Amino acid sequence: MKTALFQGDDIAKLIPQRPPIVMVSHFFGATETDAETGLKILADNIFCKNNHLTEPGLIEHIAQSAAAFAGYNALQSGEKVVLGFIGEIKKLTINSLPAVGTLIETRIAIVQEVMNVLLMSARSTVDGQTVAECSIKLFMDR
Amino acid sequence: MLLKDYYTITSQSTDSESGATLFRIRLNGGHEIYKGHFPEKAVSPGVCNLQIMKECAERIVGKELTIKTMAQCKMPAMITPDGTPELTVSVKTEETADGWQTVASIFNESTTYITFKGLLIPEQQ
Repeated sequence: MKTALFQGDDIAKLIPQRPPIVMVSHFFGATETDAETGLKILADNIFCKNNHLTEPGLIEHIAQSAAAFAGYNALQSGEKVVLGFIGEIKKLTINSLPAVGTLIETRIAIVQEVMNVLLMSARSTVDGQTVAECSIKLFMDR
Repeated sequence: MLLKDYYTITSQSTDSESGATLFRIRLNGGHEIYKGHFPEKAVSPGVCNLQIMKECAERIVGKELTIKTMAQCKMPAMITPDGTPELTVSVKTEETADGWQTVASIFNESTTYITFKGLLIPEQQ
């Protein structure tokens, strides 16, 4: 597996969410416009059912991936990591629900940033296969 | 219910005008999720509000469902268990060859908190 810049408990430096609703386990890195995150699905994940991560878990993972990207950028520029809220999700497609034990890898791209609103696109894959994609708008509480 | 005791349905009715099913719900502010969302301010996660709408749709069609596609889901206001514990969930489903085209929202007297438009399909597993 790729090396992560942040993983495990260190993810708390990037996002304000805390257990039991932390849905990002790895932050692999970022450029100015893109970031890569991951979620290793554990059996005790609160959004798991029948040994699979359900849609709210998958979508929350995408939202927190976007928040982690914003948090990473805040850290880089010496600012505080702030709360972010989902404002809108559009054009979401879910191809499959990933199983417990797998690693979801998510690529987040900034589409537009205006004031406190971040518009991003996201694609999540497991073993190279796309499991979900969408565009997501986050309101940052800053 | 995916998240145990996250909310309670207190009544169910049909809106004679739109044909939508209306569920009155009450959130459980003591749910463990609020320990992490967020430690200093309890806010019902948008995805949990989405899950509530999906579970109400499951009651209408009598099957367990999965979100296949979502054209749009808007979350213009925050639901908090302290500020807005009593809410109405409106769900209207239309059966098609692909599944159930569903329009849903959660609101109270003053505000609409979330709207959903998407396709639900029978659960795969």
